Amino acid sequence: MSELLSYTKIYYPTNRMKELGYNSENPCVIGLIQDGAKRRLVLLSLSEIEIGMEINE
Amino acid sequence: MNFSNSIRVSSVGSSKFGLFKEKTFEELFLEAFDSMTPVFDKEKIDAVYVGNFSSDHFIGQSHLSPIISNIIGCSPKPVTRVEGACASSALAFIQGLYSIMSGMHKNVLVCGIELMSRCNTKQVTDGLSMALFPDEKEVGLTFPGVFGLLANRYFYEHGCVREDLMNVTIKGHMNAKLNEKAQIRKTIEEIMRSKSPYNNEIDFLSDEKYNPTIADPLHLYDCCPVSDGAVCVLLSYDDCQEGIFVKGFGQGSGKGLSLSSQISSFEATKQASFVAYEMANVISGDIKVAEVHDCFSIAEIIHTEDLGFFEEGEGYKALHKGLTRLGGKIPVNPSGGLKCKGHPVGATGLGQIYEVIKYLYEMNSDIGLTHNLGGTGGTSVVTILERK
Repeated sequence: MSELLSYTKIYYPTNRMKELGYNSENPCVIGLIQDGAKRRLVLLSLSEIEIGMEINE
Repeated sequence: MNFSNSIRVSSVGSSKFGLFKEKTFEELFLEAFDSMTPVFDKEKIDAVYVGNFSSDHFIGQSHLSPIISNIIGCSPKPVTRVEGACASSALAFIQGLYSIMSGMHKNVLVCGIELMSRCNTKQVTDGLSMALFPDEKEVGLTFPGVFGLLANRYFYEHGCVREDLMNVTIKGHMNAKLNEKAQIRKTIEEIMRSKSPYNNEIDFLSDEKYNPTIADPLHLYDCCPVSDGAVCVLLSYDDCQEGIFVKGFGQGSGKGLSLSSQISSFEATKQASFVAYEMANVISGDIKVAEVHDCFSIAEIIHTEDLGFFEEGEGYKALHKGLTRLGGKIPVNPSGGLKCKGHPVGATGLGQIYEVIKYLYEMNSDIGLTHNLGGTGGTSVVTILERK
């Protein structure tokens, strides 16, 4: 389990995100998570998102 | 060398910032160089430093030094390009100071230039992405994405909301309206009136139709534009006792989102400002004006805290109280900032120095500060100038 420290939804996706199916209607969500001692950036697929929530990858 | 009081900015010149697709690199550079005041004999230039982020990518030309040398006609004197992402020309400024402090040179020309408008939005985005940290790039982040992450964290920690960011935008547009060098010279109210009827600027900026989300919570009007621009300054070590003197400077480096101790703060800026204040023997409260790196609205708020103007979490409240507007306790980005004056990446840092000098003369003020951030906080440069 990791804690979500912050996130953003990208409404103007890069080409790579477009290839993954993201667009302005389906924004890519990128999260910054605290995973033990490590902090990492990850792609998230969540409809409800809130800083501080637990992320189960 | 007694650094304070010894090196002055003896001449400055700037192009307009904006989109100038019709201009060549040489024409843009000369707009800045030929406008330098006071006029000086170019034979006195001992060396040149050129701040530029990515002419390789934006105009397909990497080796700028001999080109600048030919334009100025200063060959065979040394000309060096300096790259530090968005902080390139502030770093070039520091290199100019070092070369004088070393005793090698007495008069150093420092330039900043970037020509971005020949690329389309995707090409600009790809070019700018080269300044991200590898893990940021790997996950597909763009610059708005990184600052969106910062903004959401700042909101979470300090209770700031999107309307607070709009205050940065509104102030920036009002200031740029007064700046003849600025790229966007319309207030939000003027833009709003040209669209549908709105009650006020906040209503307009809340409308997704004209202010669409780019990277939540950042919208179009939270982001600086793509720009072209060039700026030149001459640093001199001589007997002159009046003018603009470099009172202090500092440089810091940062680790990126994944490794920084704090998310909604830039440790590189804290380090750079600490060193600059120490060298200048001043405190943040002595600064009368500041040009800070507001590539995104949230950035201005965070920088005013990292630079010590306000306590952590208080920057957006100070903005709301009007403390950072023209006539306030400490005017921040009276030029309109990157957000509205424009952000020709490799010219921005020197553009800030140009603006602070202009302010010190026009407002009969004495001490100003510039803050130039490179990448997503990987590099930060703070310069303190004093008018005597």
